[in-house]
Amino acid sequence: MTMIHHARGGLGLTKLRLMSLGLLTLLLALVFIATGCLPFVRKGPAEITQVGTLGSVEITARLLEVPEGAIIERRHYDYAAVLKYEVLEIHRGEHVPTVIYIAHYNPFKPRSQAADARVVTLGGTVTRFEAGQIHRMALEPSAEQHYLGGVINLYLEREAEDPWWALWCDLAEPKP
Amino acid sequence: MRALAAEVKPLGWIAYAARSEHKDWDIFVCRPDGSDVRNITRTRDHHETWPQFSRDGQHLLFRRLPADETVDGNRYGQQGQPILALADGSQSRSLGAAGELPWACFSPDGKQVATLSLKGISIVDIASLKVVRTIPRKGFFQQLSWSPDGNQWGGVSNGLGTGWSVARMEVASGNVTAVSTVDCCTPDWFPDNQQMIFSNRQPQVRGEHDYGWTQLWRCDIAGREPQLIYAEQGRHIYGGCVSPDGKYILFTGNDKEDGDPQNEGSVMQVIRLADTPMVGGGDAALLARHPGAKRGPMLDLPRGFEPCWTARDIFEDPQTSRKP
Repeated sequence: MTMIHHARGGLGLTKLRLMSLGLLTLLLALVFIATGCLPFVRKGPAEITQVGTLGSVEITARLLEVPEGAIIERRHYDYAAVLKYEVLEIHRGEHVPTVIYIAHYNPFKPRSQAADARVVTLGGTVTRFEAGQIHRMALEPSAEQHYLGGVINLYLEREAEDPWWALWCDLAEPKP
Repeated sequence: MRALAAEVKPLGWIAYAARSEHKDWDIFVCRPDGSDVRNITRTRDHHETWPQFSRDGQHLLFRRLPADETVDGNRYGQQGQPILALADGSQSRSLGAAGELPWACFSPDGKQVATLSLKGISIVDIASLKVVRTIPRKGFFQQLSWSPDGNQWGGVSNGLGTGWSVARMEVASGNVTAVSTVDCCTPDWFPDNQQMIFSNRQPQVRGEHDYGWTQLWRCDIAGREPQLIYAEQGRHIYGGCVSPDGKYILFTGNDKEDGDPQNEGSVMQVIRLADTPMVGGGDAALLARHPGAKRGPMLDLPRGFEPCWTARDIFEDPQTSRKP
């Protein structure tokens, strides 16, 4: 009885495993579709990211350029720099233009080390801003309403009077 | 030097934050020649910083924060509680909890304060602590100051491109005008309401970290006719303040960046406005940039941070006994 039970049990477990695997695959696919993760893969420790929960908007976007003078290291002077992005995908939120200007706080610091007494909510896996990088970000629409401090905005006169405010910035890359 | 000291000594009092013998920051006052130094807060378990006399010299506004918190050269107006006292430091009372009334500065009549926060610039009635009016801050983010005539606010703005611009806002309309857009801070008003004094880092004058030494400048409120007041290679000049009669300039000369509130502040100094523009230290390149620089005496006062000057005799005038 015991052996038959084991044999039957073994066959049952295999089926169950196959069904579970299929279900898991389906669930993962649904999760990916629901969260819009299919085209891009976040780099870094996904288990600690807050990109999906912070802010009212979540996007994946390509950093188009880092203008000279936008990112400088100034001891004692915390500031935010405005950077220009091309939006590739909108995961959460509305009214996001195709080209977007985003203020990043103390951009010379890795995102995981940039939070301080002035800006408490901040993080991500980006360690250095480089043109061409793809970032997945949690945002708020108005830096003016979320940040009281210096802003280096080299786009001010042309396009970006009140840039968006970055709360979280993970490095992403196109899925191969 | 003696002549300058004799000129300014009777011209009221200067309030400033400085380290006490217990190493916490307290509010001190001294005569404008640096004599008669008095500690008027004496709180070992708290720092007090950023003293501001009301325009009539009756009251003093400052911030109080726990002594284990570090005074931040860019956030000192937001740190700790806002405290109101008589000008001699007596009868102090809190106007709010820690972080409340950020960057509060007196209205000309001393009955209101303007505060600067993410919500905007708010006018708050001191007696009731009720918000009278709030308008968008339009990029202003620190060091708010109300003009003597009450018509404008000065402040540091990020809405003009460089991150640290000095700007003014019309109180009635909220319209903003740039005053100086090249790395500026600590703006204050001349008594005539027509000029502002501010610190300004000239990009051509390299120094610490290769981004220059901060100089003291003035210009009219439309940003025209910028004029050097004082510059010195090797020291950052901050905390510029015009004497109530408009004839003298008070500032701090900082070896280190940022007014150095983490340490002991810096030596405060007084010069005659008539002796400016002035170049200290004899740097040849700087003198060449300012061929019209004059020579004049400069008084050394105690070390301090963000000083403020009133013409009133805050200890001898019987009106100081009035309750705030």
